[in-house]
Amino acid sequence: MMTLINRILDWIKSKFWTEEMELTLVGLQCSGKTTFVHVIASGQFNQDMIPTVGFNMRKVTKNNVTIKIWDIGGQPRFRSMWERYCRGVNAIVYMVDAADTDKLEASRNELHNLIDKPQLAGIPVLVLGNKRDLPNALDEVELIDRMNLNAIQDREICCYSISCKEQENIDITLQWLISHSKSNRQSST
Amino acid sequence: MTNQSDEKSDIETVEEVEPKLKYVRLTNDVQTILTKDGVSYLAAHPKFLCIGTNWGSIHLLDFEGNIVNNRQLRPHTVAVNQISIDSRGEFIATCSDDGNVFVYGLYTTEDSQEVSLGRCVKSVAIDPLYHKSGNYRRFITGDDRLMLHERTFLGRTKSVVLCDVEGVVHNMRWHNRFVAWASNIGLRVYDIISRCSLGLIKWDKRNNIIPSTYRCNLTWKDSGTLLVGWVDTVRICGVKRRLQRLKDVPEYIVEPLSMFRIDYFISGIGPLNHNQLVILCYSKEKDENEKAMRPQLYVVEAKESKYVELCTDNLSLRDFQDFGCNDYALESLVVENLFVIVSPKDIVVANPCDADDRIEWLIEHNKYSEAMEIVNSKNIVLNRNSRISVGKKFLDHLLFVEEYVEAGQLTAELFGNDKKLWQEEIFKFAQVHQLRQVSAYIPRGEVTLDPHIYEMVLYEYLKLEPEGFLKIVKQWSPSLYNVSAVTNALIEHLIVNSSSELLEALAILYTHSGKFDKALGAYLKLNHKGIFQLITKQNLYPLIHNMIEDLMQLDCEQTIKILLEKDTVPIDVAVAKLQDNRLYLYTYLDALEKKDTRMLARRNLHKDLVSLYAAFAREKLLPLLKRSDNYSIALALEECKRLEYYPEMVYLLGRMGNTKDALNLVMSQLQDIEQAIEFCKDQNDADLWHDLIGLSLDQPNFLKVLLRKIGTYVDPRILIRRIGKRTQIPGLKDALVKMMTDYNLQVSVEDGCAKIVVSDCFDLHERLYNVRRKGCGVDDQHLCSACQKCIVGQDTVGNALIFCCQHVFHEECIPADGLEMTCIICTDSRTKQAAFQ
Repeated sequence: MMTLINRILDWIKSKFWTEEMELTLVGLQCSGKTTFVHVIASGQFNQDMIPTVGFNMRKVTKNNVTIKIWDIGGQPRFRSMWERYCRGVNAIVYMVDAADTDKLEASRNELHNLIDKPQLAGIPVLVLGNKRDLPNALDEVELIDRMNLNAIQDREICCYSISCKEQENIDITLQWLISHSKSNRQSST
Repeated sequence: MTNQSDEKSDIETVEEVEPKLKYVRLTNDVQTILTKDGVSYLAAHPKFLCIGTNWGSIHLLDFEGNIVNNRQLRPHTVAVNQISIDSRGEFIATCSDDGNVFVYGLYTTEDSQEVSLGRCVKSVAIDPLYHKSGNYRRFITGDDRLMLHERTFLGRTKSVVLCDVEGVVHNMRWHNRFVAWASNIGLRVYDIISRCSLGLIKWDKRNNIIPSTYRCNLTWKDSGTLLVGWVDTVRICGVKRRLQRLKDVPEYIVEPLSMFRIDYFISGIGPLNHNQLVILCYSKEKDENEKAMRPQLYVVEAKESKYVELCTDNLSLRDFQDFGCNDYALESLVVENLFVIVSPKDIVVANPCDADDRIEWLIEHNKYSEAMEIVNSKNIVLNRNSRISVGKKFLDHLLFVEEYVEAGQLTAELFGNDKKLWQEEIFKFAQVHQLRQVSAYIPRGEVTLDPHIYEMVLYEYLKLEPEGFLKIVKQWSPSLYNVSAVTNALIEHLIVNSSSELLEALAILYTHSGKFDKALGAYLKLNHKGIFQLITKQNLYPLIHNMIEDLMQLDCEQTIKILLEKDTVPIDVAVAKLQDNRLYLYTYLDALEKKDTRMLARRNLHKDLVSLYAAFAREKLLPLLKRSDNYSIALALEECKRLEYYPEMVYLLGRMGNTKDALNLVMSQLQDIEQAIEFCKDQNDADLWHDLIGLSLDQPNFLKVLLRKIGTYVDPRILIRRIGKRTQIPGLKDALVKMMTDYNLQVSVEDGCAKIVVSDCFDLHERLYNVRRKGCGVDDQHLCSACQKCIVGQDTVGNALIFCCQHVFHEECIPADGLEMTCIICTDSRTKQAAFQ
């Protein structure tokens, strides 16, 4: 009986206190963007994702925050679209395969290219180093260094090392995201 | 973007007019769809496109034509008539002739609606704020009437008829609180908040045009401006709040801002910027096969009742021959200035050309200087191009069309002091052997390039332009390039092809590398006067000992100057080196003599100089003989004798004391009585005069001269007595008269002189007398010259004496020497003087 009341209360709460945010998920191909969306949406890790063609659009509700996610394909031919989908969002999540050091430089260049666009000025960026479960994955400190994140001074930037497979650090990532939803941002600023 | 090159060839642009828009055809999945199906409607949202097809299916696409696999979108059974997307792109509404209207979320299954009207629904508009819950969950459908469908509290849909329509609703666009919709008779704007129509703009009555056959194209430029394109008429309407709020009259009013007609049917309209419009045009004419022409995209500037055409692009859309005016559509994303051109078989996205596009177009059309202008202008933001990249292309072009001079200038302008760029680009000039054109601009100051580049330039000059090579060698600092390498190359070249410029350059290069001897050699070989500068500049005096003669040959004056300038070349050495060339030796010694005669005398060089003067400058010989003591008179005499220089001989003989011989010489060789007289006068020797007279006796002419002149020097009687009897002397009378007058003159002069002396004597004596007679006072200041006491004092008793010499004495101080009293001082000194003498 209590559970039923609780659910009704939640439902009412969700009707009145829901916050919304929009974020764009970009990064090189095979870094785990769509996987990440699945993990935060359903809590399940799916090994066999097909490469995203174009983009996926998803809405995920967590803790009364509805997150609208643009999950954009990471292959080179889609990268010119990144800017379009990053315009006006609350946050840009940049996914990096922390275990694939060969592609780090390309990833770094793409990130810096993207945030240099005048239309994206000031949008907070969260860099996620995925696949930390793999043996040779870089940790946050190395990632910050290799991605040259210290050079980005004009906006809020944060870096976490996560694992979608082991679901590590997904919670702090979500916390960060939720704290950047519209109303939270307003109250924090 | 991937297939951009293909598109360009597909879509013809009118030549020469710079395009305002660029086109990209949508490819990828959309092509697959279009091969089987046709687009019946396309709606654009900043993040995606949504198409409905002739077969009723709905697809979400990204801007490159990929299908976005999101949710299954509900298909209609027949062609989709219109799709409407809410402002955040979360919900879409679709309608079709099958009578169904679907509204559903792209993210959620909740909040979807479905209405079946059982009529052909031509248009649908979803509330732009549909994503907000509550009252905004509504949409409007248009068939033969306008109906608003709202979701009620319990999830049911409530439909209200807003308006009955004359004919059919052709098109409908919802923006903020206004819904614009077009019917057979005109255009209405409906205010959704106050639920009233703001008015009707009626279509003009036109012959042979049935309104329902043409779709009315509507676009909201912003919440106050509506663009309408119907048949061939463009209208721009403003929706404004009324200034005065009246009862029973809507708060807003629609007023026409501009209206004009164009020569085409309008298939779509969109705003570009300010007053510029983009119009998708469909030709009124057909081609020769009665097929449709290509649609065109017009960019016009709208005025109140007319328009200015800015640019026209013919669009080669797929299967354009088969389609009518209503098959095409133009969707615009106002904020992004992006236009989507839709045909049933093709979708093309058009963007205004940015600076990059302009530059690329200009480059493509070989308008490089204009491109450079854009690149050089301020505040230009370029992504794909840069000043350097455009400049490089321009450079390549200039080189291609062989405008090398301009290319050189451009290079300078472009690269400035950028070492890397220079090193990269200069090889282009090297390939066409035009390094000479950039040689003037190559950085040589703060920034220098690799030495081999400078060498490359030098080699090219060497091969093609020796004058330039010399110029460059003179100009460039030797530190820029490897001097020895260039020298070697030059020597090799000289073997084959020698020229004076190259030799000079060689000399300069030798100088640079410190091989002064070789440099001097090269200059000498070249007969180049630069050698003197080199010598003085580098202090090469020790090196020139062996080439003094050559130098003299090159330029006597300068050589002498150098030899004299400093005592760096010992005189002995110079003399020894010049011994073989007496002329140069003469020039040298002469110059030296002018500068410092004593030095020559010291060095015993006057004897050489005498013989040199004798050989080359006789006029200087005699003065030298007269002023110098440092030569052997005998040798000089011999030399003069050999050369028969009689005046000099005369002088020498006179100097030796052999005046007689000298006089003989004057008389016999020179036959110059005047000189003989002069000589005798100089010697002032009575015997000589006698000799002269003796020698003149047999020469009546001489005698005549002698008679005229001798009177001044010796007693003319001596001469006259010695003239032999019967000697005929021409002009004797005149000569005698002259002699007599001379003599008389002399006598009278002597008399005059004597008179003057006597009168002077008297005058002076009188003056002396007067002076002596002058009185003089004596007061108590005067001291006695003997006792040194005051003359006039209390203790003086005796008389005082003053002499003419002004000495004053007491009488008793002077010893009485007989009767005469004299001044003891003057007497003393006089006696002393006398004693001394």
